[in-house]
Amino acid sequence: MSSMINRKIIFTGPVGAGKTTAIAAISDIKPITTDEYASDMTKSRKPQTTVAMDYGLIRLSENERVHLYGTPGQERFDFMWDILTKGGIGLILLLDNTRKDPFQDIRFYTNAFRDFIEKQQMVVGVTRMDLHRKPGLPEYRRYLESLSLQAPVFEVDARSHKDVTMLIQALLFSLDPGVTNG
Amino acid sequence: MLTHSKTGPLKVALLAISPHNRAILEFFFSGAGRNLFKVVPEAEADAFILDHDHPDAKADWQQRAALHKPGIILSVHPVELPNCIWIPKPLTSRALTDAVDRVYELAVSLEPALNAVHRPAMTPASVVAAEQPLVQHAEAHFRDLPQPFGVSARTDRVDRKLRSLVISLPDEDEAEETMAVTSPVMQPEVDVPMVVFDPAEADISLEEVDRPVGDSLSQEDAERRWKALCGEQDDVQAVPDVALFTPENYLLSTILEALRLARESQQTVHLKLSAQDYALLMPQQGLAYCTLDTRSEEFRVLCNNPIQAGQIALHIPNSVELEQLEQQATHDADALLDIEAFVWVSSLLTARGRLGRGVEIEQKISLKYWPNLTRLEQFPHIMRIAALWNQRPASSLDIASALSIPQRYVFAFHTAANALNLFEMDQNKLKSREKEKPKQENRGFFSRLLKRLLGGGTK
Repeated sequence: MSSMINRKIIFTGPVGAGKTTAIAAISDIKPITTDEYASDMTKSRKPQTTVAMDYGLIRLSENERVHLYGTPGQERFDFMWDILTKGGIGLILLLDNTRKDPFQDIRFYTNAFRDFIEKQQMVVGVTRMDLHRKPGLPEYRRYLESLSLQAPVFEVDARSHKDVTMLIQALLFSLDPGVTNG
Repeated sequence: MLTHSKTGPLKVALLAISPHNRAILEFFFSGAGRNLFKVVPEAEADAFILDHDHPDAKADWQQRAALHKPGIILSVHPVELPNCIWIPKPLTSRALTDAVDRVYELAVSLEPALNAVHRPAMTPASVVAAEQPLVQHAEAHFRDLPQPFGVSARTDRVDRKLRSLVISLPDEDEAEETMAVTSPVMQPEVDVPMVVFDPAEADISLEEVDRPVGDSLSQEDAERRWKALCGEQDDVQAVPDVALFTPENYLLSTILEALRLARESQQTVHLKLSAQDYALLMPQQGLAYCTLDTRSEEFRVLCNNPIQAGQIALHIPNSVELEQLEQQATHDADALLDIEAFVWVSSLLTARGRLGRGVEIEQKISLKYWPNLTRLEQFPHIMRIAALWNQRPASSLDIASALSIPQRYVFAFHTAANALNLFEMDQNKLKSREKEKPKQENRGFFSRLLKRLLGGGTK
């Protein structure tokens, strides 16, 4: 019997940016979220559990899984996410364009995940641009460049399977442009 | 798996920690950090980990100060407490790994004091008295502490615990006080580790999501559109054979002029397309409005064919005119699109897989910024082209060859991305943009994930 292959993709960003929604958009299962205690089914198996992060899953085959983790909405300075990135293939940073200073969010999250981003890859999705057009993507691109970061930046609707899939595609192709879906 | 120089994980108790942070630490200690730490009840712990930014931190630490157990203090701000080491937030796995060895060293140095605490002849009260300077130090430290969350310090719980250390204080809660006085430090609260739940490691069968299949063009319609956007030219063997177009002869050059004017002036620019049709470029909103559907045959023909003198015009509308135009655009919101999407599709329909005359075909360039691919018209291989060109400087022909794809798709991408000024052309800056050659170790896995996401593969 062949061994199980597990990979991890991390979704991060401020509260309300759409991390849980994005995971739900592509997960094969109904996501487990930190907002709820635990699903009934989980409760019945493991009473008194606490979920560290939002969680979703893509099953590729019997032996291959992609785990989707969303960082919890903790207090701004009270975060411990880097330790959760071990074994991760990349980071999806979701930004809420209606927030007061999304650039501050970029600074904060890219700093928190700096080592991981340098080793792996980050892709940025900007949500709620339909409600607030400014800043625009050119400003985001230039800002990331000023932080010496190269990352695809897309406008996304976190509810859209297509948009979230595009973020994952950009992540995979950035890691290896030679990948094909054939 | 992370390891350290000692054998076996360090047994730790988690104090003053929020449920989320506790879950995260336990998650880490049960996975990648399982050789570093093991969470145990406090009585069994060799050391404790305390979240110093938690409102209960002061009380919890003071209660344990006399135990002489080494502590790991997590905090945003630097912290100096006796017998403790400080790890700054954001917490990293590296910092935790380093902390283990330091805690072992600390434990060795604390050995005599630890034995003294456990001498049976010593009463709790005398222990407290002996540790009074330590407690005072802690009190002063916590009093001056900034509150990182804007949460006021919780004095109620702290006061109660402090009273438990000073026997002569009056009592408000007899039962609790009595218990505390009996053994304020010798019988600390039992901190039973919670069950860690990592869904990735649990073989749980959760409710499957039944997701509707997104609407998309039929394969036939998609291929027809790709031909309109990228042409049908066969690959060429030599540079002189590359098909070129002259941008100045087409609507595209006026659109680019309008974009430049709009961005520089930060004002809406009106672009007359015909007697009845027009487009607005609105830089403030990053939107374009076009009375012609950009997917229509009319728009394709307009972009495809050379324009006549006087056919196209652009200007910045005055305030009265602008108000009317914006009202029209607001009522016809379906015709609004991202300003870059408008330029992108216009470029593609004009070029149809050709390069603009004047482009140095063999010059190496690099993709400085990715296009906003979620809001732009797609064509085959677009992601791979963007990724590779972002990764390394190359000419269009190099990209097509490296990816083994038809040249027309690369030429189409080149023309459209160039219209949006997304390339780095400065030859001096190209070298610094070059990235490491990507690892191919996950290629098979990534390919299967892609296939799965794009509609193939098994669930």
